[in-house]
Order: sequence, then C-alpha cells, then structure tokens
Amino acid sequence: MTQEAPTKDGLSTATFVSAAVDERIHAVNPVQAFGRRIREGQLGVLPVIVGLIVIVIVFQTINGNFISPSNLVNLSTSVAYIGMLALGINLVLLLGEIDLSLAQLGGLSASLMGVLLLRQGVDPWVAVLAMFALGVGVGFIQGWFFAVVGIPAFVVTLAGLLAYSGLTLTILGTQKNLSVSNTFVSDLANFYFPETLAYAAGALIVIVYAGGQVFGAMRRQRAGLTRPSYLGIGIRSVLLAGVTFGFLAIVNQDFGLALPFAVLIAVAIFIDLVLRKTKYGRAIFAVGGNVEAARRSGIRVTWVRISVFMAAGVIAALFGLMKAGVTTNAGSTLVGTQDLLNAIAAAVIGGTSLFGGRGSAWAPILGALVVGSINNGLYLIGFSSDAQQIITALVLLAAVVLDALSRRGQRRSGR
Amino acid sequence: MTPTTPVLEMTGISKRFGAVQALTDVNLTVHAGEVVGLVGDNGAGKSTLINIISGVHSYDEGTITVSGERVSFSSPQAAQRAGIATVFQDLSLCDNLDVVANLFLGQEFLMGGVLDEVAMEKKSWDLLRSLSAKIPSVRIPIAALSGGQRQTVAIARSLLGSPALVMLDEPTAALGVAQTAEVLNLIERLREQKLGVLLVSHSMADVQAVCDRIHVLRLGKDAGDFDGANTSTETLISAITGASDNVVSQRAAKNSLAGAERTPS
Repeated sequence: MTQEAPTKDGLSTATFVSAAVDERIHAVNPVQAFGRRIREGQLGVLPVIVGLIVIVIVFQTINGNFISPSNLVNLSTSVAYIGMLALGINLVLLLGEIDLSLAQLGGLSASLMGVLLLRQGVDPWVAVLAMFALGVGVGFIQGWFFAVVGIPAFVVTLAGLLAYSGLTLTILGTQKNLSVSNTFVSDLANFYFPETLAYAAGALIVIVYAGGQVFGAMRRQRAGLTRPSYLGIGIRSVLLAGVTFGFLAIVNQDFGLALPFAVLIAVAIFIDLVLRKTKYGRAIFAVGGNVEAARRSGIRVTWVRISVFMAAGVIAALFGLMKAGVTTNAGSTLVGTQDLLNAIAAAVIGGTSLFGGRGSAWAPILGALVVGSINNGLYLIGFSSDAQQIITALVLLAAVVLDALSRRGQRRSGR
Repeated sequence: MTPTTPVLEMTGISKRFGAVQALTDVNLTVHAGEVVGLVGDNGAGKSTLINIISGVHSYDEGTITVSGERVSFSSPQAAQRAGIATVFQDLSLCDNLDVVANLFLGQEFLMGGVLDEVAMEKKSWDLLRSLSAKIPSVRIPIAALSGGQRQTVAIARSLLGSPALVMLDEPTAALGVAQTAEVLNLIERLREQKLGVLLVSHSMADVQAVCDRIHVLRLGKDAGDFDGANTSTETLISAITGASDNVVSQRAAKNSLAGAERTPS
C-alpha cells in the first residue's frame, strides 16, 4: 500500500500511509463535515444562497415576470455595477478597513472621462486611460494617508467622499448634466454576446471548475492527504452548470449575456484566484486578521495596504464606466450615497466580515444579486424606493448579525 | 557537558536605556539538545535579554555567537536567518487563517507563482507529527483551537526555518494544567531533536520540570546558573530575590518545610 514517491522536500510518502486509522486517509463524510461547519460558524456562502433562493421564489410567486428573460437581462446589468463597486469595497473590508469614497470616486472618474470625451474631444482610449489613472492615483493617495501617515481609513475616505463629489461638480462646470448615449461607453454597456459564444464561455467555466477540483483532489490523494469526495465535486459542478446554463438559456431568449455582467464575473474570478492562490492574497487576509503577526512574518504591511486601496480605486473607476454606460449618464447625478450603501451591504450580505480577514471574492457578487433582486422585485411589485431602501437595510442588518454570531460561534467551538 | 560548540553563547552583554542600566555583563550559554530556563523577577532584564537575542533590540557591549559564529542582528528577520527562532508570548498567529496558512505565513511554498497547498499541508502534518501534536485538522482556523494547540502551532512554525535555538517566551502563561503538560512535552521533544531551547518563564514548577540548567537574572546581572533537576524552589527564589532572609523565601521555606512534614519524600 505504500508507494515511494519522492516529494518536494525529499520525504517519502511511506510514513504517511502507515495506518488505516490515520485521520487523513478516508474521504470526509459530507454530512459530518457540514454539521461541523455549522457548529463552527464556517457556513461561508450558504446562508446567502439560501436567502437568494427564497427571494427568487417569493418574487416569482407574487409577480410572474421576475424570472422573465427581459427582467433577468435588466437585473444582470444593474447587478453588474452594484457588484463591481462591492468587489472594490470587499477588498478593503478584507483588510479590516472601510472605503467610503469609492462610489464618489467612480462618479468623479466617469465625469472626467465624459468631459474629456465629449467636451474636449479627446480620443476614447485616452479618456478611459485617464479615468483609470485617476482611480489608481486617488487610491494611492488615500492608501498612503492611511498606511503611512496613520489616519483611520474611515476618516481619510470620508474626506475623500466629500472632496470627490465637489470635484465632480467642478469638472462638470456650469452644465451639470452629461449624457454619454451614443458613445462607445453606452455601446459597450449595451453589447450582448452571441448565443453560442455565451454558452461556450459558460461551458468553459464549468469544465475548468470541475477539472480543477478533480485535479486538486487527485493531487491531494497522491500526497496522502484527505481529499474532498468526488460526489461532492460532482454535485457542486452540476449545480454550477445548472445555474450557469439556466441563466444563459433565459437571457438568451431576450438580448442575451450583457457585457457588463460578463466583465463582473471575469473580474470576480480574477480576484478570487489572486486571493486564494497567491502569496499576495494570503498577505491581505493576514493583515486583516492580525497586523502584528503579519508584520513579524515579514509581510510588507504598508505596501499591502496601499496596493489594496489602489486596486479598489481601479475597480471604482470600472464601476463608474459601467454605471455611466448602463444609465447613459456621466453627470453629477450618476452616483449617490445609495450606491455606496448598496455596495457595502452587498459585500457584507455575501459573507465578508466587517471585522476584517474573512470573506471571499464571491461574497460581493452574491450580495449584489440579493440587493439587486430585492430592489428589482420590489419595483416590479410596485413598492416605492423608500420601501426598497428599508428592506435592503433590514437584510443588511440581518447579515451583520449573522457575521457577529458566526464569529462568536467560532470562538466557542474550540477543540 | 560535552565540549561541543554551544548554539548560543553570550558573553559580557550590557545594555543601557538612557539612565537605566538594563543589563550588566550577562553571560548565557545554550548547548544543542539542552533546555535552559531563564528566570528572574519583574524588571530583572529578562525581556531586554529576549529582545536582544531575537534581534528586536541592539546591545551596547559584549559578544553573541550562534553555533560558533559571531553575529550581530539588526532585525528580527536577521536573527531568524542566523538560526534563532522566537515564539513570542502573544504567539503572533492570525486567528482567521487556518493552521497551514499560519505555519507558512510569509514563507509559503510556491509552484509556478501559485501557492502549493498540497506540499504545505503535507509538510504541516510532518512537522506536527514530529512534535506528536494533537491538532484535529490543519484546515480549521486558529480561532477554533485551544490555547495549548495554538502554542503548538506557534512552536511548530518556529521550527520551519530549521533553527539552532528556539526561544519560548512564557509559553505556559495562560494555559491549564493539561495544556501546560502538553507544552512541556513539546519542549522535551525539541530537546530530543537536538535543538537548543531557551525557556523564559515565571513558573518555577515548569522550569524545574523541564530544564537542564536554570539561569537566574537579578537586577540586570547574572545571579547564578543552577542545575535544573537538583535545585530546590527556595534556592531559586533566593537567587531571584537576592536574599535568603527575604520575606518571600522565608515564606517559601516555611511552606515547603510544612509540606515535607506532611508528605515525607
């Protein structure tokens, strides 16, 4: 039963596969593993997925148009920009900090781009480059004030929020309205993928996911470690395929897969890989968990903090571009505090902790789906926007309570 | 003691903080496979000495050699590279990360620029096995572990850089009886692996239980080097406090006399 496979550090596997009672050999029973995760408050994305299913069922029963193709296309584009902003805020939340300025920064960069493009007649590429440069630059400055000067991020970014809304008005001059309809911005936002291309992309995602999971499980088994059960991998892959192709099949009856939503998913996949698979991502979680421990481990804490604020700035600019395209507006009314609060709510509802160090790149996406669905569903039923805000607030409160409870649960279940 | 090169040899170490002479002419030697206890009252200079050995503070006079080589550290990282691993009292673990992530924090195994979780997890089990550590899973966050288990993880992490000397700062300070015993077992396992161990502790019982030699500091000076197994608590306490007629040692002597009468051994 032993096989001599030389490993990286020159150890043989013979020492590992010695006893059948070894706790690493048998595959983990999914039911037991699940029970343990509940007790330890490590539910991850489960509550929000359950919540999402409940929301869909409720709205679909009240108003049959909720899962209609045209509404789903609508929903996907509005989720795209809520989710994009939430991805940026999510990164800062992982550090245990908060960035209140991101929505205004997105509005400022969109207005800058619009003014350059329409009033100055600048090349579209240059205009877009300028807006992203603004995002990175502002992120760097805010990060520097926080990480080097030592001013709380809350204060720095609150000052930013005010400054950027003022700057937006200054850039726009006397004419505060700026429509970007019939420019490349709105063309991009209204681009829909051809049916076959969308299905091919969906299939690629499912295949790469399942393949990666199986490959990982095989590597773990070869190394003599517990591997996730193939049944679990199969179930997760089938679920992913079902959701992906179900969504694509419905939206393809209407316009199809919108570019903003595809960009959101692509950016989320990228951030997810960086967070889970790289040293840099590990460093972000470490700084969010225990700054002193991270510093003693040789992590360059200051650089990690500044770079995260810069990344959030870039994402904010992307959010500005998306929302300007979807709403064909780059004027002073493009963003409001509602955007910021929706994005923070989305990240927290999705399961990213406000206390730092816990969360994932999928939390803001799932949270944005919840927030977007609630707003959209209530609108369909005919609720006013006041009611939408109140209900989003209640969901946010529930998510924060869940976050606090799961922290407590984790501490209690020491083994 | 065999005439081998000591893993750590400090001679004539002095350190001033402004008007305060924190350490005066301190000499300390730790050999491979030896556990040396460092005890002293509050303000005796233990913390200063720990900080000097771990590279946090510089020293004014004296020499430090590690495994025969003269060293001077400018940073904790430099001390680590020289072969001195320090487990700080607060353990420096990230509660939100799992055991593997904590063990390899800052020194992750990479495979083509991507974290090699399989290799790290395997090495984690190796390491924890070699310490006979009782950790239920290496994939649960540190927050879900007990105090003793956390101490184990912190000690295991200190071993990753293949150090010559492991310095433990109050490893049993906040632990229960069983967990303390577990940590003491761990220290004995470090000795079996031929590492030098410097154990800084307030607990006389722990130091006497596990140390080969006990080095006492008093008011920044050496106050004696005692044999670990054959030194009584009173002797240690009088060395720590600096007087045999001190109220503390009188009380200890009285109690141990009374104890000896009750349970002759």
